[in-house]
Amino acid sequence: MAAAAGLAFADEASLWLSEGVDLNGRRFAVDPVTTIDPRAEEEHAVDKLRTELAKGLAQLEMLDTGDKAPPRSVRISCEIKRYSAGNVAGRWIGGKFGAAYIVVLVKLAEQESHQLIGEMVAVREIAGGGLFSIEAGSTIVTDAADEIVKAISNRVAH
Amino acid sequence: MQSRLTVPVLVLSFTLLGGCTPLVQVNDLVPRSVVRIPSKSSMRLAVAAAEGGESSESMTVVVANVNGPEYTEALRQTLGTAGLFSELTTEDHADAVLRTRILSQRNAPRSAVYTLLVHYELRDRETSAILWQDTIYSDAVGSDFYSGEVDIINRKFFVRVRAKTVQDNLSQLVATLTEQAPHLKTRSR
Repeated sequence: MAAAAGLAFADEASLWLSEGVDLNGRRFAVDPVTTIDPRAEEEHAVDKLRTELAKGLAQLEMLDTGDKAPPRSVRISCEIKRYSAGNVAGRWIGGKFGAAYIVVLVKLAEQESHQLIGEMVAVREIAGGGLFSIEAGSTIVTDAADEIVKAISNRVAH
Repeated sequence: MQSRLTVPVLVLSFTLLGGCTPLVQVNDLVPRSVVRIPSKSSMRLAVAAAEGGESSESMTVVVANVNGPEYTEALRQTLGTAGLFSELTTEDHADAVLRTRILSQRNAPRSAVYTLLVHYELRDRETSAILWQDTIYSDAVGSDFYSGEVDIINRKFFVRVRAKTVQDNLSQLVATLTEQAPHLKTRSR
């Protein structure tokens, strides 16, 4: 990463880019998502996050589909650090005891040089809602993907 | 009517804000597991004030937040305990300066998860050349700390979660620098 002082600060998007990095015109390739939390594998959050990320980027025409081989693509690598689908009963009783949550550490790197150019942490949590939150374990993955895509697109001038 | 309400509103506001005073103490943030390292760098190190730490979650202010000043002091104490460098000194007398930016800290009150992403950078004080840099991630989940008290808005509980996250981050920093420090060389050394 570039100098800490030179890291761009995006208050809302929480994506930090190395000094001088410009994402305009870049396309993004999504690497297979990794995890250190076995629950993320069991609940298929790993595959779903990659799929949702690709879908979100494709909608914004920012996905590197490989057919055009755009120069200077950016690779997005995600690691699910924490995942829990929680449980409905716990969410019904009270907040965090049944919370569904996901924490994703996201790194952006240059396709060719592998140089790290950006980082962010996406966190999504559903801690209430009772029966209405029955799909929370899946919803948080979609929401996390949306947050990542939004953070990246916020750094691209439209 | 408006002026009659002003005083009670102000009193109530100050009472609420007083109750929201951050409870985190620097001592809570310093990892207990750090021990003095036998091999160390001959460099004199200055620790610059940590930047960042403003949470993107506005509600975080309700409970203890970890900001630059607390982080800087915890960092100084941790490095002092580890003894990785010959001396911790001021920037004027240092060979290298450690700069820190808290890139991200995420959570909300009653949240299950707290995350911390910190960028560390060691620069030659004379040349400003980057000698070493890394971004270190740490997190904690509230349920790891749940000890039976039915108090989901217990502020001390959240302070423990935050403190653990900072301690983990600083422990990782020391572990990384333990490998790196003996090989670091500034222009003057």
